[in-house]
Amino acid sequence: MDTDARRGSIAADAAILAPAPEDLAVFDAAVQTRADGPLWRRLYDDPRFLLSLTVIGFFVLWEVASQQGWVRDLFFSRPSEIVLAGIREVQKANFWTDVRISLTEFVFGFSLAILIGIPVGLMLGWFRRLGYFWDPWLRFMYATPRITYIPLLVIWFGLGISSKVALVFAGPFFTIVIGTLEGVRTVPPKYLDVARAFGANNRQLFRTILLPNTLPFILAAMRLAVGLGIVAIVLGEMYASQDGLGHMLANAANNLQSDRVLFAVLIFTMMGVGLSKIVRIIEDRVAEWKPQMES
Amino acid sequence: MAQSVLEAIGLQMEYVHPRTGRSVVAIDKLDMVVDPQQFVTIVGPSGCGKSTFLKIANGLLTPTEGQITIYGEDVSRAPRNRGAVFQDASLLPWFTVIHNAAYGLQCQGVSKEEAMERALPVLEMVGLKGFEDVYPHELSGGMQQRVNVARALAVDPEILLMDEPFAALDAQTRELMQRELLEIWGQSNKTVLFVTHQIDEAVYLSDRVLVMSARPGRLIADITVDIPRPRDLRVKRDPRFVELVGQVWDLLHSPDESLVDRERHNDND
Amino acid sequence: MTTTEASPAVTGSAKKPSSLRKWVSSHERLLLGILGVVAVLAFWEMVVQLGWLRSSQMSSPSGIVKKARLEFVTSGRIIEYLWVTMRAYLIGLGLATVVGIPVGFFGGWSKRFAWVLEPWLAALNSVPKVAIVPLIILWLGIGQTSKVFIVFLFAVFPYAFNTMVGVRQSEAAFMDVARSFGASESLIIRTIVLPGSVPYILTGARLATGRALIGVVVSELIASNSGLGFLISIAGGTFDTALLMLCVLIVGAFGLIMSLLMTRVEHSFDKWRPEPSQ
Repeated sequence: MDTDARRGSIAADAAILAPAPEDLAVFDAAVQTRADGPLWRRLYDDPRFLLSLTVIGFFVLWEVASQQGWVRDLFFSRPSEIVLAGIREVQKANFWTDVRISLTEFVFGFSLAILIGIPVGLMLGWFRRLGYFWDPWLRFMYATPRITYIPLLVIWFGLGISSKVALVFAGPFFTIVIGTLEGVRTVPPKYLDVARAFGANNRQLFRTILLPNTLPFILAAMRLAVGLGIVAIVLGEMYASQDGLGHMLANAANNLQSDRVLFAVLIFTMMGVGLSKIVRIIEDRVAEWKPQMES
Repeated sequence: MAQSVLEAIGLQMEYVHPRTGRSVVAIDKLDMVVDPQQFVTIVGPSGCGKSTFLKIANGLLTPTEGQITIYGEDVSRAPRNRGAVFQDASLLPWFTVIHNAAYGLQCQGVSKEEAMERALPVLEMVGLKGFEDVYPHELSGGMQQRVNVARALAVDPEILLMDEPFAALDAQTRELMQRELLEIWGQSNKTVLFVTHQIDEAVYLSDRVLVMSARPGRLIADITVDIPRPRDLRVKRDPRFVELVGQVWDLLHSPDESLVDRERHNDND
Repeated sequence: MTTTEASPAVTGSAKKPSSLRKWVSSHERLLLGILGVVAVLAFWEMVVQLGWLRSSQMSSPSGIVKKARLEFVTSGRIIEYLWVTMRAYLIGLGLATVVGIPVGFFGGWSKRFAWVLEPWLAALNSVPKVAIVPLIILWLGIGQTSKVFIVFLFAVFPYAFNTMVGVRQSEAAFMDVARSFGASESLIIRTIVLPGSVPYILTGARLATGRALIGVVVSELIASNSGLGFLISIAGGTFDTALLMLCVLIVGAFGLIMSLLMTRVEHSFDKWRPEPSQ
């Protein structure tokens, strides 16, 4: 990761911006915990205990602070209210329609980004000159926050589903293209040399060297792209939509219903985490053979 | 009799696995001494506890029982009397060569300027004059190890503790460094405790070779190397040299029956 | 660069390559890039001029330039808005730096702090911060305060994570060396931990600048009465594609410049690092 980090590649960005929960130190704390010793000492040395303590403490404090009026429940709501709001929401048909719409938009946009992005990235990486030609635009599009396109996309696609799909497409597309591109470009030339020396044709090179090498980059880019996609959905629906979860969120915010807002936030968070997890699982499956790619 | 420089008394190091509760004895009731201006090597297979021994001697690990002292003082209390040379040169990449050589002194509280002044002649002694302002990544492995040695020498220690410093070098560089080390040692008159798993290296460098067996780590022999100094690399073809290497090899590879039985006992505990 | 040539090599002719050809091939990347920019711009202009795309859908490059002259020179409105956005951006980013780095440092240095901090950070990070923006605006109102806070929220995570990783990966070998010579903890921090984590902190800074930009534009887009994001929402409402594209350009250019700047800063710390092998 060291050299990657310095060259600012997608893979490094993904490692930083979207770390997996399993990488957390708390789960592999190799502390020399004494089997004996007073209870408080053992607990103080136990990472999971300390963590649980803070988590429970936080929610309890929140609930109490809200009930006592120390913080305005208008702004922050309280855990109990959020849970109740959640239960109410889940029973509304509208809610499930919204969820369906949001998921549809995400899936369409993201799939399009993958289906188009990977081949484009492969081509741009393999045909060096083609890549150089498009490099400035790619970098520019990647560096521009997708949110700036929202009004433009609304003008083109209206307020329906397609504008959101386009928005979800935009971010991940460039991420995946650049990630794939980088993956192809950083294939160690010596592997290609060896294969060519044995007379491999382009198709074999592609299948046996290029793809395996590029796959981790693609997956890292996908992990990053999931976050971008979720942001796109939330923003797109909040700002330019008449339905979908994001719209529900904006609506609730306008009506000062912070419990519903936080519930929506919760749903979105779970979506993001779930999707990242899926990508992670695929990544781990694929990464078995790669010795030097440390997480 | 002059007081020995380094002494290990009843040293015991046990690891208890936190979850299974099994204990591994890394070092088992070890006693040994190093006398002034001697070059002593501990030789043994990988994992026999010799690196653990050096870690304790460096004050980085606390033994389960017993202690190591340097001129009578427990090592965990007085860092100024020893100089460590590690296997990996571990030169700080963001400091120049001269600063790295001075780093040991700086750690002991000497100001950076003074430390660098004092380290300069030491750098020359290890043959790196002219490389003061170079960065470590520009140096070869052998040169990095020389800075490593210079760093340890600069603090003017009572004893040099060297943990397989040449392990990462290629065979030829390694031999050249061995000879250079003997030259530097000859010039500086320091006491050295060296650790390695290469038998010929141990015999070539030392006055005494301490043979250590694995799990539990125990000294099984103390062999005096009576080959006269100064020793050229050609000494390695000397019949006496070959004989000594053979002795150590036999000790390490066919331990006597009682030792084997004792080890088997420990495994069944 | 030794990347393998994918297109078949041109068979050498008998005469020596002219120095011009050599110069062209060694600057290939740059030239192709410039060609790419120019070609797309030209194509774009042509497409709008020919009427294939209506200007209400997409403005032509010349239209954007015209708009830029209008906004910058004639009206000056955009400059004022830029300034507002800049202020919120820099203050929020500064706060994130000042808070994020120390927090990250303790997260990397203290075991127990890390146990508690890291999961919280990871959890908070996976919450799409955009979704929280309405709440924050509810809480802090429309104005500079909420903007700065949002920028801070967006930018603080890369700082904290990266610093934490940087501190944590401080080579144990170095610390063993220092400790064996009896170094004090503060010396170890000064000479080993901090220099070692600088590259990571800089990476965090680069990521943070990008995120802060998103934060400021988002907050202005959703609820503000001034700044670039606000201008974007106006342009969207009035179907002013030229203005819209101009804003996109400005934001994008700014993001790119910051990113390049940070990369350059990162590279300036390279003198003591070995060359990456490629």
